[in-house]
Amino acid sequence: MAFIDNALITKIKTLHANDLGAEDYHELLKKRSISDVAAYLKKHDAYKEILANVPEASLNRSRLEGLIKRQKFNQTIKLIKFLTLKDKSFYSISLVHMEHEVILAVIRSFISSDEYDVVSQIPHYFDHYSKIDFVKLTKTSNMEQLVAALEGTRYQKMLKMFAGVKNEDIRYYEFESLFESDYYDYAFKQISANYKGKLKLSLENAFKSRIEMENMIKVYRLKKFYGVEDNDIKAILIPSTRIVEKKLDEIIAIKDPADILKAIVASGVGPFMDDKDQIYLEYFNDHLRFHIANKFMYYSTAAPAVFLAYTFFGELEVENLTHIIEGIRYQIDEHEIRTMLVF
Amino acid sequence: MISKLKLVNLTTQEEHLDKLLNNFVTFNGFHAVDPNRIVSTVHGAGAYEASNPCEPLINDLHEIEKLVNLKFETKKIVCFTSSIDKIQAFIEQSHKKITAKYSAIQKIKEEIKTYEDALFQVRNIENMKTPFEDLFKARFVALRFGKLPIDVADRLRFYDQKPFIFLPFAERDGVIWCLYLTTNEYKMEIDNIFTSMYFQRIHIPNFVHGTPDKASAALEEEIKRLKDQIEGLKNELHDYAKSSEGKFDEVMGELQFLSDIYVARSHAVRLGERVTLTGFIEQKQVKKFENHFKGMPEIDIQIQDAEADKRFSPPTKLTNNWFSRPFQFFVEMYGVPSYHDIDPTMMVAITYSLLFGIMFGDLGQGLAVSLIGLLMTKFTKNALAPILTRVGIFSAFFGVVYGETFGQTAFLTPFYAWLSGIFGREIHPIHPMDNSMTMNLLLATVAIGATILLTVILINTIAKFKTKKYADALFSSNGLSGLMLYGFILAAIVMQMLLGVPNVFNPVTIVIFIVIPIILIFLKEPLERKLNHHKMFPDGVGGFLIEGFFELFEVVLSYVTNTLSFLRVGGFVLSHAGMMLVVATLMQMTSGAGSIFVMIAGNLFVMGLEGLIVGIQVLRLEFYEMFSRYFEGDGNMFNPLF
Repeated sequence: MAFIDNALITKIKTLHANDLGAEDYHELLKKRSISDVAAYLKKHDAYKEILANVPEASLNRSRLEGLIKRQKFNQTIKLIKFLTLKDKSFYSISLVHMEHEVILAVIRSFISSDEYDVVSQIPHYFDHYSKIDFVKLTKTSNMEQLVAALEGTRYQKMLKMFAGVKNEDIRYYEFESLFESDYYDYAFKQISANYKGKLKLSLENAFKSRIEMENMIKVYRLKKFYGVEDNDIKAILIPSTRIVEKKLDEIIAIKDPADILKAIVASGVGPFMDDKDQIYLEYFNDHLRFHIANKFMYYSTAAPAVFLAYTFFGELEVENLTHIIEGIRYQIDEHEIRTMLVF
Repeated sequence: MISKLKLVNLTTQEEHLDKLLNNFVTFNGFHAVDPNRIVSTVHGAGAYEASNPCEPLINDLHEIEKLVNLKFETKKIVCFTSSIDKIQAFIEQSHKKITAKYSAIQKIKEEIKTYEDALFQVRNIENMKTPFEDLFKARFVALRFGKLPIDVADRLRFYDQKPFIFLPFAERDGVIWCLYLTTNEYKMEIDNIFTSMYFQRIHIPNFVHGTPDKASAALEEEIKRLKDQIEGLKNELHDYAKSSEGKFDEVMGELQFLSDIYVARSHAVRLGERVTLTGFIEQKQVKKFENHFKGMPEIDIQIQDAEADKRFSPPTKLTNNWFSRPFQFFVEMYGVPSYHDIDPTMMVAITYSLLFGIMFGDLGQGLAVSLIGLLMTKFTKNALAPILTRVGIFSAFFGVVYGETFGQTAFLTPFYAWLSGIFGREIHPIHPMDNSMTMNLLLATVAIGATILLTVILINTIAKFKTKKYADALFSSNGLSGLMLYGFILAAIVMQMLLGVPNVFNPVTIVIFIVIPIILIFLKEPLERKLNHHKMFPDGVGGFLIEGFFELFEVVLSYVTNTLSFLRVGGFVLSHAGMMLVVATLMQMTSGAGSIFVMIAGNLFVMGLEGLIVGIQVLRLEFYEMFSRYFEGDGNMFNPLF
């Protein structure tokens, strides 16, 4: 087992060595067009394979973003295929997240206008690796049809109670929350089933930290932008065993959303960032992930932790590149884009 | 060897700075020190701005060079008389004229690309007998030609219920050349779907009429016409640039001169009204440097020893003869020697060439490698080329010793017959594959290795004495103690086993040459502390003994492993001979032209594969076995401003 773990760690670290580094981001920040970004990535080990046959000039923003996501997916699949371990189900965690994204995209199509093309919103190349029949899914137009199309998957049971909900009554954030809970449930179940001792604790803590941060951001958003009631907010949050309920209630009870920001900073991520970083809310979550990923990638000797770090780094890389591409598209100043990146 | 340097201070009043810099930039070979070192240590000192306004203008000129496909000569300027505004105006004006034509060319190129795409599509449906105008005028059906990226084509299966027909023609460069048909009623929806899949529509130009074969001819003719148009524009561009070439050369020269002044100024330090430029020059250049500023009484030149100012560590300027100079490449790859170190280049040149020659001995192949090296030196800037020229000669020499020319022994037989005649007795080449020779050959290579190791330990000992690092010189495993221990064991083995001298290992020699050196090596660090008047065992004796024991074990082991490492030299001699034997056997199995082909291909294969492996293996011996004993490589390269 230890040998297989070491082989996997070596493989992950080899792949990670090809990821974009600080120098690459500094170079990319200087680019002023999508084709310049594409030309740079085309020469980089991390993306040269996927961009080899794509002429830079023909690339637009969404296509480049799609290709970047696909490349990260290909690399994760490369690792998962490499595995023959009994804890393989833990490593499928990023695929579970992708399945959630697909179902959410379909639900979005029910509440969007007719022009919304759900097929363009889902990673079509992923259906070979999922039990969900994507073609069937994209042909549904309401919750009832969706639940029927999910036959044979665990999602049918999960969504059965929503089968009767009419399109106009769909509350999208409820589904977001449901899938978020499912993601963390899956993670904790796999961790409990496969690992013990210090490794179990550190993996659980990594997820719990994310939950706590996401909860706080959610409270901030729901209060500031949607004016949701405190009780409703509490129902949407994902329970975490680490943070005491009283503390959570205290945060929910804060009236001024700006004070929640202060609470987030006081929660422990503050020391990692300076004042000007706080202009961008997701930065907190990104920075936390970066911190966890760094710790696992460079100090852990357990394959699941290193793998988790790799997936976190992968997510951050995709987000960083998306910020750069969007920033260029909307002609945002280089320094402002930089504040959104975590590397 | 390492050139002797001098530390130079050039000082003047700030009002004379321009005069100083005007003259300074025409002197080659001044290594400026980092001005911040002075600014951070001298109260009130300040540096000049590092920005260089000439850089963007020079980049503009380079862009013009690329546009007109010309290389401007940088005209040598000794004094700047123009103004930067004038230069800027000239570059902007030229740029404008050139880019106007260049943009026209780019536009036509894009047009050609569109037509070429259309041509490729039209050829895909060459068998169709329907004229294009009929296709595009259809009342109920809409037709779109275009390209679809292969990676998204898989998405088409999600739209199987949608009313369209998709016809792929060919796959090229990651796209599918295709067309789709739909009814006018669903045109918008289907166009939307294909747009979301990054479908790139190819428009068939309006002038294209008739059936596809006629359309092809029309398109080809149009493409040819546009290409001719580009040629015309290119000639106009070239003529314009040629007519102003002299002016461009002048501007380039002026900008370069001005840019050098800015670079030099960024290294100057201002203290009150005085300005100083500090740096290193070669000792042999001192006279020339002083003459360079002759007749300028407002400039003070202060020449000091390289180490007069402890804030600056002198850089290293390697100076080597024609033979060893190319091997500096290997030395710099490992690290630059510090100013007081010894320059290992000559040692590398000799040992590298010798070991390569022994391992790759073949007269024909050696001369061929040399010739390839010569040609590469002439036509490329490859740093390995001159090394190939030199090692090839050594290969050729050892080829004569082994009697081999392109793996054949017959070629050198008359030479050995002639040698035998001269010396009056039979003289044969050394055949590595002879049974009687193999063991001797392996032992000989170990002996060569041991000699090389002894030499590098001796070099290190001398170098450490020179730099007054007495503890390293006396007690290190690569110092006098190591020399005595390793040298004695080697000498004793030779004397006792080969020369039959009895009783070399006796209690007296063992104590003097083995026990005492081992104790000194073991106690090197405490002794070094003692020499520096510190406590010998600051962390206690117990811990030191355990750590020291393992270190000593490693030191003794490294003598054995480093020596045996040279066995690879013998191994490669045998491997080379073995591979050439295979080539010879294959040649015997074929006849006529086949045999010649096998000989050429076999020799090329052996030269390519084994030449590379031997080159790497010798470099490994240099870096690992030798450099680790006498070379640290922690210096800075002498890097003159101009």
